[in-house]
Amino acid sequence: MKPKVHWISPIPEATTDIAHYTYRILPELAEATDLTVWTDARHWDRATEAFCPVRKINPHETLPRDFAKAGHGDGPDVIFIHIGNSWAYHAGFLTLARRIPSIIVLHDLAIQEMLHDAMRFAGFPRDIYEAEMLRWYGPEGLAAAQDVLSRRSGANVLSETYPGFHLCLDHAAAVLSHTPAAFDAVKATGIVPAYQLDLPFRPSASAPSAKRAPDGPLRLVQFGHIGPNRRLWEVLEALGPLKGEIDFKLDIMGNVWDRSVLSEKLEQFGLEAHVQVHGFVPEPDLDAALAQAHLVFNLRYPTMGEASGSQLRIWNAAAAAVVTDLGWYGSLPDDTVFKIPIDGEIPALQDLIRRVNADRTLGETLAQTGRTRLEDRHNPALYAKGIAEIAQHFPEDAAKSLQARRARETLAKVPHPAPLYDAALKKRL
Amino acid sequence: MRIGVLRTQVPFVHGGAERHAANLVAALNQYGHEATEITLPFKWYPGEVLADHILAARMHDLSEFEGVPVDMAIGLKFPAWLAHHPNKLYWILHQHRAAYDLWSTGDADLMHDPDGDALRALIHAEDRAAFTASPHPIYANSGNVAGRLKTYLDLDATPLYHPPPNAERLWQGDYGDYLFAPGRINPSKRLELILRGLAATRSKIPLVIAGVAENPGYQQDLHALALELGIANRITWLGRVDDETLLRHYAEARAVVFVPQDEDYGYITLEAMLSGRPVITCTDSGGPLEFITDGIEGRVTAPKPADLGQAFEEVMSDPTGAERMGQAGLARYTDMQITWEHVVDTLVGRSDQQVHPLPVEEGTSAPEDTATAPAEAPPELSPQEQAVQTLTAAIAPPSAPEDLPFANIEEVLAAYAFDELPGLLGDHAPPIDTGLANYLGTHWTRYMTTLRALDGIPVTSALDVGVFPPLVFQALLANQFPGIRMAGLWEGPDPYVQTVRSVQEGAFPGFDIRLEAVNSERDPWPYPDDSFELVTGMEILEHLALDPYFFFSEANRVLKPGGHILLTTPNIVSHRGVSKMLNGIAPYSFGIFVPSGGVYGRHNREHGPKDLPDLGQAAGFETVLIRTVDVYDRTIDPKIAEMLVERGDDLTLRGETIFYLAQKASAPKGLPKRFYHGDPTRMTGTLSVASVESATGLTRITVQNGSNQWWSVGGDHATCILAEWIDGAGDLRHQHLMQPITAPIAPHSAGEIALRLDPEGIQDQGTLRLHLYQSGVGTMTGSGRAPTLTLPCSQDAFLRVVKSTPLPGDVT
Repeated sequence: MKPKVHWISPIPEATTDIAHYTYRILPELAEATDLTVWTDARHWDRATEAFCPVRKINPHETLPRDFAKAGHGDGPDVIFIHIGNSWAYHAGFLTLARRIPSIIVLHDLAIQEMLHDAMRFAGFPRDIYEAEMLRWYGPEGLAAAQDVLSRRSGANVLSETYPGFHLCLDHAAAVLSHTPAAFDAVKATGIVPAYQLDLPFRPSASAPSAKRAPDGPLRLVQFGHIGPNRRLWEVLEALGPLKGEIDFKLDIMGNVWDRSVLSEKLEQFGLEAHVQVHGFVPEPDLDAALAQAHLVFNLRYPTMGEASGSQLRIWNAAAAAVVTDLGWYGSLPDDTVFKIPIDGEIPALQDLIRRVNADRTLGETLAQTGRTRLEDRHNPALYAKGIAEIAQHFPEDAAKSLQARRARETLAKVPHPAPLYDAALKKRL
Repeated sequence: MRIGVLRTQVPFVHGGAERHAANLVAALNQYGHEATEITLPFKWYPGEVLADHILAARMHDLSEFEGVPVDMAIGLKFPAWLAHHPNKLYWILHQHRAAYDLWSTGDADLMHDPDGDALRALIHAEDRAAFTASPHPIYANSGNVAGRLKTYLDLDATPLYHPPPNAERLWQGDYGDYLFAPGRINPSKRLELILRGLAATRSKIPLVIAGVAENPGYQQDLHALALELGIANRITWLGRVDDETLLRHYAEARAVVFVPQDEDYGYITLEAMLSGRPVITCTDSGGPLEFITDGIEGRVTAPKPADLGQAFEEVMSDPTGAERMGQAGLARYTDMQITWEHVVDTLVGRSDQQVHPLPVEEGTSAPEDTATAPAEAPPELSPQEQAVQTLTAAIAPPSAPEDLPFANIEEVLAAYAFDELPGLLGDHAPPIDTGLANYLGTHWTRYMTTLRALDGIPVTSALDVGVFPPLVFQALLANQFPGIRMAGLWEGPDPYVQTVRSVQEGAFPGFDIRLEAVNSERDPWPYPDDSFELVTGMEILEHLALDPYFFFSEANRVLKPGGHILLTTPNIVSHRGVSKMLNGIAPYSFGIFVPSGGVYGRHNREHGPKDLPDLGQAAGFETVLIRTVDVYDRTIDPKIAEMLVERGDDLTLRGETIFYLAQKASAPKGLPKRFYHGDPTRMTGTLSVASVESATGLTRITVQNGSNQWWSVGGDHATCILAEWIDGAGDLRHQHLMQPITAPIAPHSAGEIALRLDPEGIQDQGTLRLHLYQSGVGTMTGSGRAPTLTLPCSQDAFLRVVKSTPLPGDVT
């Protein structure tokens, strides 16, 4: 019997990696499971419905009866909720994940920006946030969170020490992540089973060439949702001094978090003629740009170990990327990406750009190896099979998780810590 | 047997389930058991509270109260049946239907709770675990309830019907001219369907309705519907009625109408049958369909007003047919053996016919049908034969664990290289020593019974006390508990280390083990606190000669919180022990001397089943299981069996080997005094010379209290000194008890005494031997934990010491 899976995720038209990821795996996922996709968006790309039914979810009100009614198939209802760091797509899902037992698909450990935006824009209750910060991170964590709330610090900085993913765990039956670091972090909480699968990506039918133009301007690309941790300002600062030395062109494709600052930076570093800001572009255009790029910037700091859908896209295009030597990026094989340290980031970037410019074939082998890794480990069929297997465990995981949660909450009400209660629970459960 | 009947209680609600439990308890008591209801309050909403109540039910331990075991628990309702008891039997009234059939039909309140899916999974998991852990067959209140169990959990249950509350008082009158619809009034009983059926008739059939609505609004709706349908003047609403009125209407109606939706069981059907009335019911009514066949004992129609109305017309127009069906119903009821006696016999046996006193399973020496079809003993059996059969069943061993990959000892011996030596000599598959196999084979049933006692207990680390090679039981544990870490204590004299591997590489789990050489009742066990999840002592307790409480206390110390101790030991008061005694033979199971094995080679004290819980409780254990089983010899003296049965003995405690399983619940509480002369917990200490003044002979002696108790200097069990003087020829000449200790000595602390012996230069003319002594008891030397101190001493010096040292009674 196939599991009856309810997949609660952003889907196209949403312009986010997680939406693209879901869309990419739909054929295989619909084959491996009795699948229903749920979204809280008002509009979605009807093409999604070619693979499975798409339903609208109300994060505040949806109940098991709705899943039972909407799904198809005979298996038990298994709910996957996707959590990422963008409030626009995940604030509602956070609310749902804190109401309904589910398997959390954790795309980011560091979700403080989403949490703070959810409070500002989506009505996520501040008192609950503060209580949870105190519970998980102690008085220091709460104080740091309050610094962000009073604008004395940034949520991205808060994430470095107090990533925030714990706030999704209380009702979770299990957590699926895509990197060893995230898997370990979840496992370390000790309250919920952790699963790990490699992030899927459907490789283009034919492997593109890794060869790049031997002459002409050096083609550089940065793309995606470009928030503060994507290091765009540092990239621009590195490029500024090179503009007289190297003929380059940087295409920025995607959404830059602060366009006005971007304009200031371009002016500050005199890069207006070397940088073209596109905004979001259709995927074929992006892939075409990557196919010409000598180097793609895929830096992260801070990073809490999340896997990068962007990196998979870069490998798919057989392009060479530079990443920060931290977290998931740092765990990638050295023969698949260029890595630079966060200390001395700008000189290291400048050095790499000079080397790539001097030898336009420098990234060729990296790009080919990356493409092979993509095909071997990240194919959607493998991923869908993993999802079906995880779903089979859901009833057992959900039952245990509920029991453990109630035991935790009961113990939390004890006025004084009492090891005897722990011992009694351990004995009977 | 002492039996607890488990049910849930919704405070202030009293209905069929409550009456059912009370009637079961009454029946159990009537047939010789000691039964009581054990109720747990139950609230099932919102979902979080339901989860809490499941958790709370799980936390209850019903295995014993006030030190007296509860022999069996009968689970009637969820979640009360989740409470802990090692010998549970289920007679399912109904499961928590919101997680089962009501979920499937979309009618479950759980579907409207955010935790609904998780709760449903939790309830399924809890029920499945509880039902499959029971050593007994599962019984259901009805075939309908059994069918749901099969549908949703794929578990089999046997329907076991019981009489309705008024069974003895129901009577038959004439077949009157009205239909009767008694019972609780709520939507699931579908009174509106009856009203619409009545409206569909052409003749003016009267209907009498007895009962009150749980929700007054619903009753008003029904009245309004009757008005709307134009049948209000044909209906008599009796409301709540006394029993006499109820019985009279059963007796005098033409037929009884009962059309619930998917009823679990339904007393109304049975009450109608006992009153000789046909029952009109519907094809989706559930329980009634197990008793009523259309046209035989009543009418079964589609749940549609027109069909129901037609059945009403037919029954009312044919009084002869109604009588025929009513009498057929009564005959069917009688044929079905729906009596409390049958219920008690099936569930637990009458007190002289115990059927499920213990987990008796298929494949044992118990009569084959006892586990599933107890019924009555065949009439041709004599009382003695019946008694033998009953006793045999009570102490029969369980079957081997299902997943054990070995069927007998030969297979274990063939599977493992228990000794590294043959392998080192190049012989990797030496032939099995048949003598060894024969010897170990006699213990096979005990091994299996021991493993079964561990059912459901997760074990990752175990210490076996009193083990010796070949480590066969460890091999069984390694198969039952993959990855288990094991250690052992043995007599020594050296530690024993062995790597045991599967003969065929990888076929079975191997293990490494180290046995420490320790006297387990004397020496501290060489492990830190909280080291193991399981301590086993198999056939060891009876060899202890000095201090079993020390054994239990050390087991407590090295066990992790909640860890288990499992002991097996001969039962000196078994039916065989009783037989020996009455025939003038000492009741030991093994009463011979074993000079080659020293004092520990023989059985020093065999125990009765009540000894172990007493020792265990004193040492901080909570009994999980106490049972006895005939694991070696299956012969039973019929006269003894008859006598034990006649005495009303608890036969479950008359088997030859005791199996005691207990859980660490607290620190040791204190010595169980009934087992001891003196207090061994204080009998650890040393005497040693601290200094000697050669000019005066003043000898200062350190008195070290090595026990965990204070040493007092006066009163009961005070610590004092026995001084003995041995002359130069080696003959003991004087013994003198004295009290040179001047102040109490704290646990693991030292005091000092001063004795003026001989100054330097005096020729040795004898020896002074000092013993630590427990006042009123004797020397501590015998405990093995308090050696003597010997010093050169002349008789003059000895006499001086005697004169100058206070006596024990002088010091307070």
